[in-house]
Amino acid sequence: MNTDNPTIESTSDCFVSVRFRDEINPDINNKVHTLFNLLKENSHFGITGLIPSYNSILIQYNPSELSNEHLIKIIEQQLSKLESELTKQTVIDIPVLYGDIYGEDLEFVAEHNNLTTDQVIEIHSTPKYLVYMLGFTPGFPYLGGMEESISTPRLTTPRTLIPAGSVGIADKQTGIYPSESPGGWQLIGKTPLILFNHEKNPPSLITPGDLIRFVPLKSIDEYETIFNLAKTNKFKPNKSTNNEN
Amino acid sequence: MKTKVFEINDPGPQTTIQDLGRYGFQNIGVPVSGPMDSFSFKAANTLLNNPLNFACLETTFLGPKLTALDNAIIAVTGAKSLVKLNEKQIQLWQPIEISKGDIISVESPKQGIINYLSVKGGFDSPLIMGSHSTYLTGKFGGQEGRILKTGDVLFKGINSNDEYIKTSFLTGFDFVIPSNPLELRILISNSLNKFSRESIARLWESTYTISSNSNRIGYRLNGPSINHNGGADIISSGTEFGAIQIPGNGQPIILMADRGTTGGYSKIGSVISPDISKLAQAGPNHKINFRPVSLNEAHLILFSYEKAIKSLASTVSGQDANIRIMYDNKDFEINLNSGKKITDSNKIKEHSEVDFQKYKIEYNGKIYDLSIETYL
Repeated sequence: MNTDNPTIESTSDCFVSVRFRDEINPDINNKVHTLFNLLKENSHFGITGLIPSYNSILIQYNPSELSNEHLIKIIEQQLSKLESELTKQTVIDIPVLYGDIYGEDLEFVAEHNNLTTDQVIEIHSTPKYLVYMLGFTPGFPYLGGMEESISTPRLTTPRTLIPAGSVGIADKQTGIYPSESPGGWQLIGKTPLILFNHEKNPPSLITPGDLIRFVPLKSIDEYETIFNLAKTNKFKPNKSTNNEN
Repeated sequence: MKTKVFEINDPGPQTTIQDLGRYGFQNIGVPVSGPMDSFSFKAANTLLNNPLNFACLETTFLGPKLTALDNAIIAVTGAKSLVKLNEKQIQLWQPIEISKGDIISVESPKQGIINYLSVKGGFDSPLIMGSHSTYLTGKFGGQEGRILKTGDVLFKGINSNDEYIKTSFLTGFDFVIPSNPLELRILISNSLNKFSRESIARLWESTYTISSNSNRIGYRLNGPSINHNGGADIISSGTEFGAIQIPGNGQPIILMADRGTTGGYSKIGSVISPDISKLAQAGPNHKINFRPVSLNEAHLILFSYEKAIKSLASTVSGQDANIRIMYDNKDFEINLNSGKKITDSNKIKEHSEVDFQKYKIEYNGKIYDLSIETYL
């Protein structure tokens, strides 16, 4: 397993990047999150930031508190523990109301793929999606694992405002908008959960490395009930530990 | 209990509250924000003997006009702007005592584009994820996540009566005012082999112009295109402050304080931290050249900038350089001003900016090797 030594590179005077094999896959991503956790648990004076992504982690440091050589030693030390540590993944259930005004493009996605809307919902809500990373906007999850049978190109003209909580499809990806923003994704549903709230601790419902599962809601009533609880911080989404692998 | 310190009469086009930034949340996609020109920012606090991280106002292109609602001590650093106290010109890079009812205005800069206005005790605002910094895109931090507007009332963080020694730091301009063209020193990072030797050479040979389509997220440059080996996109990865992204059109974008935490364009390298302050101060249409430096050189330059701030801090606080004396396996420090002996030698870390001098000393007929480290 040690044939894939990561590339350690000083990409700036205050950042060091640790990059694993150059591809997007769950095993490599798991190494990223494991290294992230190791570096966080063994946090060292002078390390000021950690940014995990698909296949790399970017480490920010203050060179007058921690020398580059020392930082690289710390990284190598933690990398040597990597194989023995395994990050346990949390599965978070995200309730979604599909279709109608909550997912205006559901019918288009169904037509585009010669499916019924119920089939799209079933295909979309079956897998556990891996949160490879959060980025783009605060709390935005980059998800992997969508079935290609529901992939749909982006809108030719992006919407100027997409409400927070919208669940969409763009080509082979699916995602959730944590805050309102413009965007060109095909919207198939909406979650009543609040994914990112800067006044909450922790501010993000999802952390990189989690798995999420979309759970279809049956009615607007159900959506509104959860929404009202979520607004007042009283809704606890179902979280479990992944038992597979 | 909080003290009102200013009311905004005219905010200027983009005045925000910033501290050193929002750290610890980049993993969930929250940008750091904080000052675009961290040198001027740190100096603004240091001149008032504030901790480095106290919140200041950051102004762009044109500063605000403010009415003092209380007596206060302020400092303005950064761009060469005309600063007026009740219509009389005052100096930048030094503390200014103001009284309730005074009107301060920071006018259009002649050189540079960004000013920092600090107040003794810092500006107060709700802490969002541990920081006062305004993140405009995310609409949080600082004053309700937005630029200041007319009628806003600003509060003082703490009522501080700490002693400080009034010092001016006019050489501060030299650290941040960009020449034109501005030569940016950069570290190349090309481990993905996205750029050929010719493409990299093009960076050194060309002059770029900062586009008017630049902001706190990034500065866009126009000039000769940098070509990629293969496509322009990479697997999205974390972004450095000062990273030079090369998107498909070959026109560099330098990532600044409000950059997204991750990006999918390939990067050719990054601007060294001290030069980011100068770049931030170089506005639209400013010319840019690039020059390579090694990591070691980059760190030495960074340490010299930090030393300037530390030296200012010791002058302002009245604690000038301590001297550490080591002889015969004994180790102690003395303060030159007070003559006080400080025995806690653990305070000395391995700093490479230490001045190191070796002496031989004769005492009681014995020769000792004496080394003196001066650190600031």
